[in-house]
This record gives sequence, structure tokens and C-alpha cells, in this order.
Amino acid sequence: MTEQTRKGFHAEIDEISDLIVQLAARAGDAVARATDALLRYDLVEAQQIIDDDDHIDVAAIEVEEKCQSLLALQQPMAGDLRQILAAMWITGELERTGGLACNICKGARRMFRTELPPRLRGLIAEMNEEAIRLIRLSVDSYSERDAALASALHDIDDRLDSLHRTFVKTLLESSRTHDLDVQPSVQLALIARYYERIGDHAVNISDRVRYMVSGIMPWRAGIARHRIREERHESSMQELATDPAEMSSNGDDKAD
Amino acid sequence: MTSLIIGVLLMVGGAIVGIALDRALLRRWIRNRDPERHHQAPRGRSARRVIEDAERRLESAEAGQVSAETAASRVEASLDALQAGLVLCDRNGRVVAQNTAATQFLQARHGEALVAPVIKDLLEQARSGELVTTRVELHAEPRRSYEVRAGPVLREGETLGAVALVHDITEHDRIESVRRDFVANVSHELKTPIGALSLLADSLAADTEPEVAARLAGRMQIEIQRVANTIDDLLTLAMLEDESGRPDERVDIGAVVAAASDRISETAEQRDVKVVVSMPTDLAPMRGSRLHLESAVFNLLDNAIKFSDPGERVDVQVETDRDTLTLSVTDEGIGIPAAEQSRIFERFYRVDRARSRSTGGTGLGLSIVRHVALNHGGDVSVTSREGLGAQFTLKLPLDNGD
Repeated sequence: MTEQTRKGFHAEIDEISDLIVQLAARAGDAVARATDALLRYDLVEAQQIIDDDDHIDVAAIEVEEKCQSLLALQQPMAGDLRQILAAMWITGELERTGGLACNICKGARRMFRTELPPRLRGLIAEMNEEAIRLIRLSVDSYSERDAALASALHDIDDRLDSLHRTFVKTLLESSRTHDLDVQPSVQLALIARYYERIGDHAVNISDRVRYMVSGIMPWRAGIARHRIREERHESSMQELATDPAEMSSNGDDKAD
Repeated sequence: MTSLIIGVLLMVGGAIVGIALDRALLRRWIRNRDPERHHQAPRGRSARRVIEDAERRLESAEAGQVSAETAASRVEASLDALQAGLVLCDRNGRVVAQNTAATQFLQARHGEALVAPVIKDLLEQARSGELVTTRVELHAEPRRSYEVRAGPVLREGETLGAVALVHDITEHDRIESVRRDFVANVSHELKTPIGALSLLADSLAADTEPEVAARLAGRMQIEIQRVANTIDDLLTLAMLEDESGRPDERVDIGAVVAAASDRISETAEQRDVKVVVSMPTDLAPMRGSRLHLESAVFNLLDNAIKFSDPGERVDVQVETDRDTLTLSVTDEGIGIPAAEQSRIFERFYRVDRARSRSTGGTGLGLSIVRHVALNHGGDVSVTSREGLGAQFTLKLPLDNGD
């Protein structure tokens, strides 16, 4: 009897992991779709993506509730417990990724009728590819329980961060040379930020995978880093206060 | 054998094909299946052929010619040979059989993972007796489109379960849009100048002032030139398509590049674009058509200059190794969106139609380049990032025989 229950339990854990793979596929597809809508100036598609985000939310809640009931009914320990906790956290990251795809669509809507300079379009396409690559790698590390791949994601994410910086630099140049208005410029800066955040969420997923596989908590290193940064930040607050642009480029690296 | 026969109704390519599966054989097939196996199904066999094959083998098994075991494994192999994914569930929705292609979908990660829930959904609906179809579009590269169909499995009016089929329709969609866009684009290219001519002619007829008349006539000449160019390019394409076999002339590729860049030099100067050619001095002659190769190089140069801004440069580089000649034309212009790169070699395809009228051109240049490349046994490809220019690479095989 007990064996039967346990078997059901593991089947349910497997089901959760299948659902997460599907959720990640949905979120990644939403990002690619949003980029398409943005680059094709397609507002109808943008609205459709925003509407379809409900599917992602519903799927995320489904996973969370499955996790909750397993925690309550089975009281799992050790590896099983970590797997369920990781699943809950990862679900949250994927739900946010879908939300960021919506934000890209809303940005596209707000700057409708602005023709984007080719170089910025090229960089958006590149950030999209890089963000999707990170999502895929994080899902690979999750499915294969590959802690080594998961820890590599921090470094792999550097490329997206540097694309983001290049984008902002190019945007500042373009707003002069291509005569971009303030509204589209602001929207473009935000959109670039969304891609960068999508990458951060993928890195967060990989942190949870490392925890799931080995029990270590990489984000605690982040807490320590954060504390040091806070202290440094406070001491230099007065210098920076004169130049607010400097602060925002320094931003946090964890998901909201 | 007097055992029960399950009639599985499959919708394949719009036609309903009935296959008869012996229930005992099916059960054995399911038991023997190894879900971990991932061999690639051979391509190019139609579903109908495979099913007919399976039927024939089952019949011969029934006639005692082949053992039931062999027949079962042949049915399995036949279903695995299908490019389409096939999933069969019983009346309670439990999956009882799936072929290799379906296993790949059910175990997929990333984009393709979205197909599995659709299969599940449609099987559910099919069990209540409906025939249902859905498309699944995957937007991340590589882009793919799938069609999932499901229907009930009936025997004497009673539902035994449901069957779902998954088809990769990416290529089908692409061909469909090439066909559809070609018709739209060709009429656009021909109608626009004709429409302009008709308006200009009307104005000319109504106007008596010689100055205005001269200006209108000038505009008419421009439009006539446009149509003439389009027709010329269409004729060139028709000729290229007509020619079978590789053209057999000894061609000095250095002279070809020189001639093409000479012809384009005036346009380049007008647009303030610098064309820089670099190639080895000791290029051996190759076999082909001098005229066609020159037209290909000219079109690549023309294209590069057209999409460059003043002050930018276009590089032509020729390299050879033992058996291939590589000619690349690189510009620093606006570049081509990733999603359009696979389509720019189509006839009359335009990335930006609004822009194409100001840059001129017939929309056939790159089709001509591709045809010349194919006629010479080579190919042409493009790499580009928007805003960072584009590089077109023409690869032509060299014959070392002579």
C-alpha cells in the first residue's frame, strides 16, 4: 500500500516537471512572438499575446497548486522536498517571463508608428535570440538535473547584459542621428531592459536547479553580495544623487 | 484468424484512410515497444503507402504466410516509418500506442513541448466523437508549424478510443505563402507602372502646354523603362530556367568581376558608395556562362549599393580552394531582418515595398543570382544583421578536369 502511494507521489512529481517544461515552452514562445510583433509593428498580434498570457498564468497556478497539495498531503523530505520547492519557485520565474513578453507588446503599442533604426532592430533580434537561448538552457539544466550547466548560466548571461549595454548606447546615438522622439526612446530603453530581465529570470531558474540537485543555495551568495553593495551604495549615495542616470544603470540583478 | 478487427479512421491529407489492425497484434506491439528508442523516421513515404503496406502484411499473416510475430513487428516498423506522429488512446483516455515520431513530441522540450498538451486536448474531444483539427505555431527559431488532427476510433458505431496525428506543415506553409505572394507581387509590379502610365497619358491628352507635356512625357519614359526592366529580367529568368545542364564556356572570373563592377561604377559614384574588389591575380578559368555569371555579380553589386548609405563601402572578395570558388559581396547597409532572409531569393519578394519603389529595381535580381548559381551547380546564401549590413556569398564548384 505504502509503495503504491509513493509510486503515485513520484508520478505526480514527474507530472509537475512535465508541466514546467510546457510552461517554459509557452513563456519562451511568448517572448519570440512578442519580438515578432514588435519588429513587424503588428498591434493585433501584440494584443493577442497579451490576451494569451492568461494561459501562462493559469498553467502557473496549476503547477503551484499541485505543489502545495503534494507538500500538504505527502510531507516530502530532502530531495523530494527540494524538487517541489524548486518547482514552485521556477514556476514564478516563468510566469514573470510571460509577463515581460506582455510588457514588450505594450511597449510596441506605445510607440506605434515609429520606424525603428535598423541597428536597433538588429540588436532587438539579437537580444531576443539570446534571451530564448538562456530560457532553453535553464530548462535543459532543469530537465537533465545538470548542476554544472546551471552554474554556467551566470556567465552565459553576460552576453545578454552586454547586448543590453550596447543597445542603450546605440539608442542614445540614434535618438540624435535618427531623430527619435522621447516616447519611443523611453519605450525602447524599457524594452531592452525587459529582455535583460528575461535573462535574469533564466539565471534565477538555474539557481533553483542547483538547489534542487545539490541542496546548495546560490542565491545566498547573492544576499551577501547585495549586503556589500548596499553598504557601498549608501556610502556613495551622496555622490550619485547628483546623477540619477548613473544609479539606474547600476540596478539590481534579481527578479521582482 | 477470426479475431476482432479495429477500424482506425485516419484523416491523412484530407482523405480518410481506413486501416485494419488486429487487436491481438496491436496489443503485442504495444507490449514490445521500447519508448526510449529514438531513431529518425525515413523521409518521403506517404502515410497512405505505409498503411497500405501494413494492411497487406497483416493479410498475408492471416493467410498463414508470415508468422504473427513478424507481422506485428512489421506493423510497428511501418507506423514508426510515418513522418507524422500517431497517438492512440482507449475509451478512458489512456494512451495505448504511439509511434516514434509521437514519442518525440511527447518527450519534447522547448517549443515542441507545446504539442503534447494539444494532442491530449484533441484526443479528449475526439473521444466524444468529434473530428478536430488545430494548428500549433512555434515562433522561436527554428520556426515550425504543426497540424494536429484527432478523430474517434469506431467499431460498428461504438467508440473504442481516439487517434491523433501530428504533421509538420512548416514546409507546406512556406510553399503556400511563396505561391500566394508571387501572384500578389507580380500583379503589383506590373500594375503599378501601367496604372501610372494610364494616368500620365490621360493628363497628357488633356494638357496643351508644351512644358507640362514634356514633363509628363519624361515621367512616362521612366515608367516605361521600369516595365521594360521587369520584362527583361523575367525573360532572363525564363531563359535561365530553360537551360538544362551546366553552360560550357571557359570563363575568366576575374574579367567577369571587372566587367560587372565597371558597369555598376556610375551608379556607385552617384550614390557615393565605394566598391572595393579584392581577388587573387592567378585565377584559373572556370566552366560556365560568362554572360550569366556577369549578370549574377552585377545583381549582387547593384543590390549592395542600393541598400547602402552614402559614404559606405561595398567589398567584393573572390577566393578559391581546390574545388570551390567563393565570391562574396559585403555591404555596410541597413541589413535584412532574420525572418525575411529565407525569402529574399523568391521572385518579386520585397522586404520593404514602400522603399523598393524609391530604390528602383525589378525585385528579380536575387532570383536571377540564385538561378545562375544553381545552373552552375553552386548556390548563394546570405548572412545579415539589421543595421550591420549583409554579406551575400556565391559558391561555385570548380572543375579540375580541364
